[in-house]
Amino acid sequence: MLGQAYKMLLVGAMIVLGILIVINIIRSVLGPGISDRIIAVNMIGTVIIMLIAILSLYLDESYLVDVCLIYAMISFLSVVVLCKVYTGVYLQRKNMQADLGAVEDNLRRQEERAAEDTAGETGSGAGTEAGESMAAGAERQTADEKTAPGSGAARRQKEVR
Amino acid sequence: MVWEWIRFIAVAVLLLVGMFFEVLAVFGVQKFKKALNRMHAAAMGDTLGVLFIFLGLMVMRGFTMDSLKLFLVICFFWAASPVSGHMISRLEAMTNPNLGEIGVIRTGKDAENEEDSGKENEDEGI
Repeated sequence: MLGQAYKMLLVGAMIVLGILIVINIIRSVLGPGISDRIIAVNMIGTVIIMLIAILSLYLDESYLVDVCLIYAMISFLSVVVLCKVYTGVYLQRKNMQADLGAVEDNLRRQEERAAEDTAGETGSGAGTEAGESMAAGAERQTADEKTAPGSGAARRQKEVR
Repeated sequence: MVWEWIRFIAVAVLLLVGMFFEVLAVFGVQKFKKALNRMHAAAMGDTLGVLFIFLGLMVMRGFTMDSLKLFLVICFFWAASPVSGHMISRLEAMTNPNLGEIGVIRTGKDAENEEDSGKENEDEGI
């Protein structure tokens, strides 16, 4: 009689926990962001640990409690690793976008400088000595751009992409 | 025999309370719209639900080695759940660009008064 009551209680608890797992799986598929999915997966782990603990008393097998403890540790480790991985992915993507923006900005400035140099040479003809040396310094920096300004910039952009 | 039935009733009450908290946590995870609110509900399930269900199983088992292991599982959860929650909240705070938008709850007169002004915020509410 008492054993029957215990078994009914444990089976009812296991059925409820199974339904909760199904609901959480639906949430982990639907969740809009990555954090929602991680939260849902973490809750699935918690519910499964409870399920294993109840099962260990239902079957009267004491080794399932050890499985439960190890499952808790692996579930915690998985959540920590997932958070670290997605933080790293986000930071890497952000850095890549920042680098692309810097490269484009640099190319645009080089084109502007090349255009200014050509305009200065045709406009003033022969400048002073200091101006000549400064222009030479700028020329050395953008030497490869000056030979083919448009095609060089386009080629470098293509390489970056 | 009477004491056995009293113990059964205690186990049943503890398991039902734990089930209640767990169902409430899952309902909260489904109901809330933002990840930080969902984390709040999930943390309740991780602490109170685990505590009551494992306490019920410990009462059912009595003073044995299994009870000690179940108690260790509770201790591990209470130590690990805040850490994982902190990691998830840091991920959310880092990756979500529009975290500062506050959902507004309107009831009664305020809803009638501000119905035309704040229509774009209605889907942000909880």
